[in-house]
Amino acid sequence: MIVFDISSFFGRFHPIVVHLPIGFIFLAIFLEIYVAYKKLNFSRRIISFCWFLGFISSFFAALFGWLLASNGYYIEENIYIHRWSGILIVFLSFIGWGIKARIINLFKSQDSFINYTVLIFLLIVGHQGGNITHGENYLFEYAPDFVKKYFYKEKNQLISYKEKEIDSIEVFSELILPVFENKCIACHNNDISSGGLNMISLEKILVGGAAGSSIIDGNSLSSPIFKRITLPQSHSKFMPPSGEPLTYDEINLIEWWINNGVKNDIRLIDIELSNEEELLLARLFEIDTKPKPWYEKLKNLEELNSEELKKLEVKNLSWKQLANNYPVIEIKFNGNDISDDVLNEILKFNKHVISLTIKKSGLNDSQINIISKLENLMILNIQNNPITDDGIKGINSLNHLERLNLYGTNVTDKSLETFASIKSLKKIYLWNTKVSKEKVSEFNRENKSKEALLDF
Amino acid sequence: MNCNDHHHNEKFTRRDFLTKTSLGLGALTLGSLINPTPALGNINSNNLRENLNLPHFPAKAKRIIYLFQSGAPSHLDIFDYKPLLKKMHGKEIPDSVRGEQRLTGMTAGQASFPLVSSIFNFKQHGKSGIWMSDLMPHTSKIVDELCFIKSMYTEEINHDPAVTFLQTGSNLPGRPSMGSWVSYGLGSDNKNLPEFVVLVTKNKSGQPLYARSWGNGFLPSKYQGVQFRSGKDAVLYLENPPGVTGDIRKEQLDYLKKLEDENYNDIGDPEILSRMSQYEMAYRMQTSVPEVMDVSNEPDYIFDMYGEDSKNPGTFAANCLLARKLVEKDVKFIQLYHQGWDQHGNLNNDIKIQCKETDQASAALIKDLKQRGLLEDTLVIWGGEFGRTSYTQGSIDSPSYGRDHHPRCFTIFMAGAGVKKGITYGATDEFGYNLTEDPVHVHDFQATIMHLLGIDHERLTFKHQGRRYRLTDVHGHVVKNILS
Repeated sequence: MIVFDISSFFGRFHPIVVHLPIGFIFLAIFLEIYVAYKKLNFSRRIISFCWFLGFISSFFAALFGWLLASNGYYIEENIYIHRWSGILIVFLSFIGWGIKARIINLFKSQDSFINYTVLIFLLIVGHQGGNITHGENYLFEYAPDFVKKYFYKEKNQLISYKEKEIDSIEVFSELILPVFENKCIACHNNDISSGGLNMISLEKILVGGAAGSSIIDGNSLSSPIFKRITLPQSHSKFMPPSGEPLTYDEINLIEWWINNGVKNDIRLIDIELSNEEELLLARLFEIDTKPKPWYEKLKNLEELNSEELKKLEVKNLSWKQLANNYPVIEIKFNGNDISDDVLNEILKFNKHVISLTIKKSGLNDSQINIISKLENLMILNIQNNPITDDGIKGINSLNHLERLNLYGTNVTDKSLETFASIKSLKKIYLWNTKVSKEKVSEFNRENKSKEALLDF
Repeated sequence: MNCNDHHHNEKFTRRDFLTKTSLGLGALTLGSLINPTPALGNINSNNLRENLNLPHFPAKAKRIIYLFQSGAPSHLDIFDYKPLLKKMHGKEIPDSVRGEQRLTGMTAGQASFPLVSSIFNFKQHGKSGIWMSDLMPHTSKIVDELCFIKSMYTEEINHDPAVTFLQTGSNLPGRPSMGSWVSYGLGSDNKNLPEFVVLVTKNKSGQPLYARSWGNGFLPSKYQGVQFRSGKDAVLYLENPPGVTGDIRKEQLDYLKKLEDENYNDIGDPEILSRMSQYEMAYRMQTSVPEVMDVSNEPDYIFDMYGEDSKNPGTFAANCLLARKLVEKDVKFIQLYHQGWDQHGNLNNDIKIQCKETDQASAALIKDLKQRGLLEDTLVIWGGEFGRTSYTQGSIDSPSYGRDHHPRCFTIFMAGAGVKKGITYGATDEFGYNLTEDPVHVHDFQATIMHLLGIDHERLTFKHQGRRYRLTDVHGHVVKNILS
């Protein structure tokens, strides 16, 4: 049950009363212009009376408005201009009345000056009021396109983190707080904290309101916040009491957050996500939780030079662009005898090559040093070449190398150290090499992120 | 504007010619104004493909090996473990399960539809605990590498349309096969071998295989699959006739090309280009094919891995070994066909033979690819065209009972590039008869394969008879949950 509350009761008359001063003041100004234009002999007292009515009604409109705002469904920064320009109108209409009634006599042009000033403020305050009540896009929603372009703000989903790396997304400030800001903070902020609860920061939320802490860490079902947003909407304790309720996804998000531990500096990457949770985050924030491959970050490389690419073919190299829109290439050597000359040709694309295949071509240790200059290389297939541990040492400068195929080479257990030192490395193929089974299983145990493979 | 519709943009087929001229020369000019591709520029197979802007996105899989099991293996005896069938063995299948859909003419007239449990023992295998019967001991050992889809379904109830549907996306003949689409879309990584190679197990009988399963449909004929045979001539008529040397052949071809180029400039039939490129491919294949077919350098332990059959050219095992060699040579799409899975009768005996022929080599292929690092970008697919019924065909008391065609569910498995390992996706009901979880339609399967190859199945199209066609027609959703 909702109890009688005098301020809210009168506050809600604000939207009705506001139309009166607008009408009276417009009437006064219109009359004045009409009389002057037609050069009628007309009593000025009617005009000043209209101004008086405008003043009185604007006073009540402002008073009711103040009461309405004090009940806390509005965010102060959204209504600041509306509030103070409304009050200004009360003063201006009072002065207007004084001028028209010839009580105030300052200078000659004051008559029209006050008209313009009041008109301007009426427009501002009226438009702001409309925006607060109906939303910013109400007025121009059906406007022709060329108008819409300037005044209509496309309403997106909450926030999009499409372009953001998931390791930089903070759970509370970037995922949870935006939901609270949208749905709760109007009544739970520094100025108005309904029920004693302020939701402006995590600390304040944890302090809670009059009824104690609003969140039980790790237990959504007994957390008052979660209970209140999931009550039946007709329940008097349902939150938010007016405006749009939280969506199903938002409720799930809050539940997930509470259950995973409520701390300030948790990042998304710290939490293990289930399939459903990944989908939830994708729907709400367009977050792509799949780890992005390195080539995604290379999209800004300079364009590939097609003349230079053609020269590769002369050297018995075939190349392939990874995909349309990706300026990175995979290169394969088709001959059976590789020379420094050919490798240097590849080096011309040292930033663009992400995959290199040179099978069974007599590639030797010193030539690996040339390959190690391919700074963005992710895949290196150099199986069946006479490569030894010395050559392998050269590849540890490849910071993005993920896959290394060395089967049929002469590497031994010593190379395992080099593999361990390359952080990005995930898979190493070592079938038909001199690497021992024991050392490989030891390596796999110690390096959880890497897998070295012998035979199946 | 998408350039796909200009498959032979500069030259006209008969149909193009009629369309354009009937609208008059003005329309022709207008056409080239709207889409500024050179009206009479020289074109070759490569820039034909450049217009496609493929791959649409980075591909997980670069190559496909499709081990097609023609005739439809019984999912109930190999993959899909149904303990309830043991309990209800011999009892009638409930009407609520069987439903009212059509049955084949072979069992529709049967008075009773007794459920039949598999006589083979099922066990869980690997870390993933995936159920497999003892029919496939070798494959059972590598289940942690495999991605099972137990909820495949098709719309066709008979072999010919079902195979055609699975291979071309339509049950009616005339559409390009999956391999042809891939070959058309992605082109070649090795100019000396065809992009799409087909290997058929020799001396098998059963449901016939039609060349349209690897046909090019309405795509230019150079995109059709090339069948490599076992025995002396892997590709028929590839060798020079007696008395003709390689040099003479080369000279011949060069001159023929000159003539045909003129011919093409006169007539403008794109098939002339196709034909010429095939002549030249054949010439290059004279050396590349014998090289790739030669397995004499393979060590014994590799033959041991693939099984004793692998030394006998033309067997499934030998073809699996060849498939690996072809993959090493960057052939894009390799399709093996193994017939004989159509066990309407004699199920228990015949399926044993079929499994013995395919199990070890299929597993060996996956293992071999893995140790060479090739499984990273090669996808292996194993499966047939539909499933088989959980009730018998023929009397359950006779030892020669079998199972009938069953399009409503079947199992396939994949391994390698871009798919999760050691998972089972989708499920059937306790009778192995209807789908209960995550159905995967044939078009979904095709869309997923295309996706793995970096192709958006909705964007690889070809205009034919006035409309754009694609492998998945107007259907298909990528099965995202199996992607790694």
